[in-house]
Amino acid sequence: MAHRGGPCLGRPGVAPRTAPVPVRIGPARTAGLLPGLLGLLLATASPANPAAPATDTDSPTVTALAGQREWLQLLHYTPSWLPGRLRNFVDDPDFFLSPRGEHDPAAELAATLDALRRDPATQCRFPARRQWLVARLPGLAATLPPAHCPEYEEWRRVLAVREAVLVFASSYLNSPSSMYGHTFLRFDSAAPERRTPLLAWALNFGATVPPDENGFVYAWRGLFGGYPGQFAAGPYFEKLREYSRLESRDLWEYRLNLDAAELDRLLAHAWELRAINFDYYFFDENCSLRLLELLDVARPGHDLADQFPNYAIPIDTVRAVIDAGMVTDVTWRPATRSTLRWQIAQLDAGERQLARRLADDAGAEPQAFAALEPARQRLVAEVAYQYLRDRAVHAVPDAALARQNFALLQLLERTADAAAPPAPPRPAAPETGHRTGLAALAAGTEESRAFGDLEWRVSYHDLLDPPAGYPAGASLNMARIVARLKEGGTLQLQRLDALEITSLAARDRFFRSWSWRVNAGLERQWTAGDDILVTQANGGFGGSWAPLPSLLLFALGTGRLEANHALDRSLDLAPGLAAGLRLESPAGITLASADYYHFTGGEDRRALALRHELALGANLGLRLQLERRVNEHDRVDEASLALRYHF
Amino acid sequence: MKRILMVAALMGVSAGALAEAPGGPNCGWGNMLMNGQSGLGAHVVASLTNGTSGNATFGMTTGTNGCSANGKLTYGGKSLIGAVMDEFSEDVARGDGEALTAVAVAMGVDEADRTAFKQLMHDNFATLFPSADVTAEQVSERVVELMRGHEQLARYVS
Repeated sequence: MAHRGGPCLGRPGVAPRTAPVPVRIGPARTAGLLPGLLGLLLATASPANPAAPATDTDSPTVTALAGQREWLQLLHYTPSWLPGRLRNFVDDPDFFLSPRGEHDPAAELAATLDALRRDPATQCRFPARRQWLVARLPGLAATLPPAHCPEYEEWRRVLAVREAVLVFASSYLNSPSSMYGHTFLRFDSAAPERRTPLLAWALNFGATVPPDENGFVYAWRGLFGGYPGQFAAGPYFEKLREYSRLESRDLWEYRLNLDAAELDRLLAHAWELRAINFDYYFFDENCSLRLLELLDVARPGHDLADQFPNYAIPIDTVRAVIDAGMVTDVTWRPATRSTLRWQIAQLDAGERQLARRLADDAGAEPQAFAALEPARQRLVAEVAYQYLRDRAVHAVPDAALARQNFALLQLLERTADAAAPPAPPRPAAPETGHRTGLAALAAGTEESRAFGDLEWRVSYHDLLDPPAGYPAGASLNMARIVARLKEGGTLQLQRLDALEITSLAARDRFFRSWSWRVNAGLERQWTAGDDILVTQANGGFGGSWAPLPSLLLFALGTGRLEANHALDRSLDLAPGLAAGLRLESPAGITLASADYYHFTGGEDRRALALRHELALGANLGLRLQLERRVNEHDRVDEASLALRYHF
Repeated sequence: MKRILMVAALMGVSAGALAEAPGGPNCGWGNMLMNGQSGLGAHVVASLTNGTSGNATFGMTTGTNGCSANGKLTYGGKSLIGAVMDEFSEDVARGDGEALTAVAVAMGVDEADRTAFKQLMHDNFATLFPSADVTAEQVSERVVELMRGHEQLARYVS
């Protein structure tokens, strides 16, 4: 048995009460032939009787088998906080054959043996359990009634799975459940008529919504977690449309080296999870964990899911799969908009203007278009067409749009004999980016007094962290805490961020993207001469511009709610403005920002900050911070140097 | 026949909100272009939850793709074109692409003949897509007609 310590392992404390207690798993007609322990057990079993008494939960065989890691994984048990008790994310009585099954692996195993023997439909419903038990109990197969499983067999036949691919959809800040990215599995078919990625199947874990749900209820429950999570299968091209086209998210495809037997186990188990409800927590995105559980069933021994006892950031689960040696190669599939942005960047100013005009009117400036080289014509037509398609995603469809679309499609066709535009260069793969945890040590001065900071951040990435592998202009941080030791020996909580998200998307002739940020938590504010720990939430909304590829300027209208007893109003609101720039250069990343707030109680607050990070490695950085904060009573200068380690 | 069944089964899964053709039985190209957009609200929430809408969530329901209302295929590839019409039309215009490959694969066209298939489709772009009103059914029929008239590709549709 490969199981590890902890309270989840079946019932480790339960020893057999007496010498052999028979487990009745079926008619004894083959009993004499059965080897091993089971043979002994069967030999003492009662004669055939469809309504035979239940298999004894406490029998040594059942107890031993039910404690095995693989059984626990098949039933999705995980350790709970309560010692001796198991948790189960499956929230569905249909998945358990014993009324106690949700928390009792032995009862579930006994009930499964009973049901398999009693009812052929159980074999069709739980092919992976059947397969596992038959392999562990050499005599079991002969005691099972013949079963025909046309539905399951048809499903397997249609899928005809040849290979499995783990797909990572990159971070999508506009959706809380996808901020950290998303993963799902793709099954590539062996059938000649399906042997191309678009016709592969995707197996996805996500919230499941009833077909005729009211829109408002849908939004409400979608946000606040009213829907159960289920596995769902569908064509990969639908996933591509969803992620690549509608949400502009790059996909990374990690080909897995699962062999036929492993794929067989995976699919048999996936079938058991059909229409089974799991608990689904909205912010606690657990799709990636569910997939690891499937891979654990496919290839026992790595215990991938156990590596994530508390939470699973999707890219970390991808790393775990890579570290387990399960990935053979990685393919990048740029989002439609990633390709489009790159193509736009290949155009000169005149071509850019022309493409933009053609997107509005396919017949615009025929002479200027005709004057271009054929390859440039093709690129301009490609940009105009894809840009209109991109805009159409967010537009109300009408006949005029369809006509314009069609005209650009014809233009695309007329220019297609020229050389195809080169493919955009592949960016750093997300798993090569810095790790998602962070610890930092800083030394500095505040008001000419020295201090030392200790920082810990659960996740994920900010605007100065090494950018490779992460979406540009995005900052997403949860659970960040900074403790400060001040000269003189005072130790204080300096900062506690529950949440910080910034999304800076450059606006240009083609994309009128918005930039925004939100942040909530505790922080220090000098107020009326005192260093006060305040509770605050703030947000901003505005625009960003990129005059150079490496330079981003931003300006936001902001608002702030602060609980601070030293303010004239101890709970006060402050509208404000923020502006800044972010520059990437060979010397590192620089972020300069200015913030202004005016509280309704009268106080003005200004802050200027200059931060610079020099990457010392993929997971190590040196960060310099200079900050000046000014209000009516205080002018506080702070400077610090931090060594930051991502783990 | 086996091939047709497979394609039918493959195409049957489109209960997701994202796959519903907004035009219902009237699923001309103009409407297909808008695939997913009229359901933008639904899409937003689907993306909020990584969700799936509908009860046919395991690929086991045979049915329609929202375009061919009767859901019965008379030849392979037909429903597929309905489902990926948007991508297919782009690929035909360009003369290459994954959607064009997918239709070739679903039609059973061997790898050795796929270049000819793509060229044939591209050369006949105006036949396949004469106007913004063309339906997936018409496109599918023309794909088959073009293949029938092609020496190398006729065997796949006989």
